[in-house]
Amino acid sequence: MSHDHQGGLDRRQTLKCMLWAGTGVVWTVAGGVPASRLIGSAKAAESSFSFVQISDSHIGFAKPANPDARVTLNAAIDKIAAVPDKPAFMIHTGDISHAAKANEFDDAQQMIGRAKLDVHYAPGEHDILDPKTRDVYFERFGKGATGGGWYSFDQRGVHFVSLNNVVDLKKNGLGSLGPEQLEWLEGDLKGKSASTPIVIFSHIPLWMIAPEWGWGTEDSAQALGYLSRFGSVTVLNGHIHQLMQKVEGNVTFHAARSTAFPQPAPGTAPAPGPKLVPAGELRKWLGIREVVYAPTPTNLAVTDSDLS
Amino acid sequence: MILFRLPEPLPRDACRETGVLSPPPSRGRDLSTNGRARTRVDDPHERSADAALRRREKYAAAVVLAAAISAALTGTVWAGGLTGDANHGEALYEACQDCHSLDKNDVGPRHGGVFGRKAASLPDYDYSDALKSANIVWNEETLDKWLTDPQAVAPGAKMFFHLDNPQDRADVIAYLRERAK
Repeated sequence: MSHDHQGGLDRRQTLKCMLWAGTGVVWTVAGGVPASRLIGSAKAAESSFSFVQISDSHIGFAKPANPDARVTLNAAIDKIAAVPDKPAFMIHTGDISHAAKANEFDDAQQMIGRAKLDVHYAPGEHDILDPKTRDVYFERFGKGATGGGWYSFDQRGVHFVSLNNVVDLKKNGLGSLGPEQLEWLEGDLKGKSASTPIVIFSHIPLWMIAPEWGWGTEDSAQALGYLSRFGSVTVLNGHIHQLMQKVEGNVTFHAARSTAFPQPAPGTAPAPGPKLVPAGELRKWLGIREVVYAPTPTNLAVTDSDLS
Repeated sequence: MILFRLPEPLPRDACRETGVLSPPPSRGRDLSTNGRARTRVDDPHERSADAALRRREKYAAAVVLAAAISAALTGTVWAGGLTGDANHGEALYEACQDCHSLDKNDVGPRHGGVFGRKAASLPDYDYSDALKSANIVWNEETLDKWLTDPQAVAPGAKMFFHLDNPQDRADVIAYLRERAK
């Protein structure tokens, strides 16, 4: 399938391309409803503002699946810097580094800084390996966060919440939020109008994609219960290194691709982990190749939730 | 428990020529037939003389014993009752590289020389307290349990990765034993 013809991709084709091909995702918030499009889209969406999501940069990873994850993160940042309408900010949904080393974080921040955007982070389990690296992470990335690393902020009427679900992993590596964070979330959302658009982001998906691989969050149902009264809720995650979407009522879930290496789809391999792609094709899989996409209401993951 | 791989049965024609009977079919997965069970075909010639049969059985037993000793010496083993395929194990090891490599500590400790090593014994890796106190030596049996569910072996360990398929575990273990030097 060709990825480079102009504007001719139908929804199925676009999603197929997106599965591995992209790099960052531009999120556009129009009328309070976030919609996404691939970076490199030829047509800029009219919007109130946009933001960018990148994930799983794994700086420090240097193995056959990607001999140097810095090269592909740099390529992603180049694409972000070339977005015609400057995004308001960037979110990074975790696994900034591969092994939570200071030099890996240094390299990542230097590269991400080239985008010249404010960046809001959520930690991945590769960023916080133990209590020692947790403290280092919070010192470096936890500005404005609570002691547990979760926080919220507002942007032009949209309420953003960054959650930390990587500290107390459960069976098979499932994420967990924990009672303290859930209590904070309930309080953070209290008093907000049901018409407030909510964007939640964390590293591990907040819906059960593949519990046998730890691709889900054990106590996410409670968090989603607090969100059920809101008309538009968008949940953004990383961790699984592939695009995946689900709509459940007014909640739309999106998992993002990595900038470092792909992982297998659930059920297609004995275990999760770096997926080796044919020699010479890594950049295609990670998004160096540009996919041209003309955004229309039917072309991508669009949440049509009732905000009344 | 360490079990040793039996030699592949000789073809029926070869049996006739040498007088050696094929060993009974293994209950484990037979890699050479992609898991399909083999069927023995009775040969009336081999039932005709009891004395000849007893001689053949003795000889076959000797061959099996010799092969088992040979297997032990050459390091061909199975874990969990299954024969490991190091080549397939190497392919599966790609997933392990999310956290491990053979020659360098990463998220997890390096795997070079892991087979036969005491767990949590590398001086330059920061192990979990759970693994430090687990008192494990890595061999076929302990690795099979570890790869089945590391948290069951050492609750609180850093690792959650697991392989559900026993054959996959045996293959990775064969790879670690034979090639992670």
